[in-house]
Amino acid sequence: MRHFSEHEAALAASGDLPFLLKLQSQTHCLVCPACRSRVEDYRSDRSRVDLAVDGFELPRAIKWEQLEAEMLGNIRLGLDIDAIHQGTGKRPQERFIPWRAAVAIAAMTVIVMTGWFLAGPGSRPAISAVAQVRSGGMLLRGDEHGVGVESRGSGMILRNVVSRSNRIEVGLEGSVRSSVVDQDSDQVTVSQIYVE
Amino acid sequence: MRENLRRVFALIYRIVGNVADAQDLTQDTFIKALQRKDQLKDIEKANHWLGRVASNTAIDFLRRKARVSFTEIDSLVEPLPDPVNRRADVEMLRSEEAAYLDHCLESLSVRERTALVLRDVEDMPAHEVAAILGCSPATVRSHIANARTKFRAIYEKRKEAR
Repeated sequence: MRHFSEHEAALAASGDLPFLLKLQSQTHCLVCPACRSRVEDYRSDRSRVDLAVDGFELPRAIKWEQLEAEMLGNIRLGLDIDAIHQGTGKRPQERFIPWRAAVAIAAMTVIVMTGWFLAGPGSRPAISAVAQVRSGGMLLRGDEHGVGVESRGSGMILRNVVSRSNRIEVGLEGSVRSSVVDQDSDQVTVSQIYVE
Repeated sequence: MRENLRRVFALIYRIVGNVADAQDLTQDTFIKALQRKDQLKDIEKANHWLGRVASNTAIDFLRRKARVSFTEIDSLVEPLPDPVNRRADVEMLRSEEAAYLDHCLESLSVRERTALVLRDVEDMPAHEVAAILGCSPATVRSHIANARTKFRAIYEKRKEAR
């Protein structure tokens, strides 16, 4: 009767031995209390590993609630950025435009330009706020140039530096947000103003 | 999402060994998972699937890190930054048993620890662990066996010293 090696006992604890060896080990465990006990020890260690992972504690200076809130916020932001990239019609890494798409874009541009010339620049309304919301006596507004806030005749604007806003959102609780995708780097800049 | 956040964070933390990287990778995991949620066929297996996404994300990160520093992932025996300082601020609030278990896990190599955590905590079969680690199931079994024998030896040694 051959006893288990340490590796065999360790693997027998989770049933990871090859088929024949597994069968032999099961039979051997029935008649050998020493090997059975070793396998049991390794089984207990499996639950200890589980315990160590589940019951991990953060360094004292870090509070889980803060970390959790930060992660949830960043996850939302990450998903928003993805949605913004999708809204611009391209994913961050997709720089190559297939020729069919290029022809389609060129054709659409021609149609838009023709429409603009036919309508004439005079008939175009002046650019005004794309979205605005009033909150606590303040007017929050966002347009293609950025986001701003006005109150009693004075105000401020956070202007986009390079590109036009790809997405403007207002929150009814009193916030306005514009997202801009940099055409060269595909980086997204989010500007948000909220009333507190 | 909240209940899974802690589980995923704990899993990644055990693989990469520090809070900052674990935080970034947990966020990446959820963003990836939510973007690809249509790939999930069976909602019953959502936790298992999320565990796979998390471990793949963590392993990819370690591979990139290994490539940058021109070392192999196997040679990253101790990925935890400055264990002495780390222990000092962690130790105070920990129970004795939790500290023992931590020490046992941290004594393993990255591959051993990852194989052990995926097998024992995520309950992944050896061939799935092999796919994630990019090696054969036999190698994974060897990592698991090494990890368990080391874990046991250290656990016993510290228990005797009490």
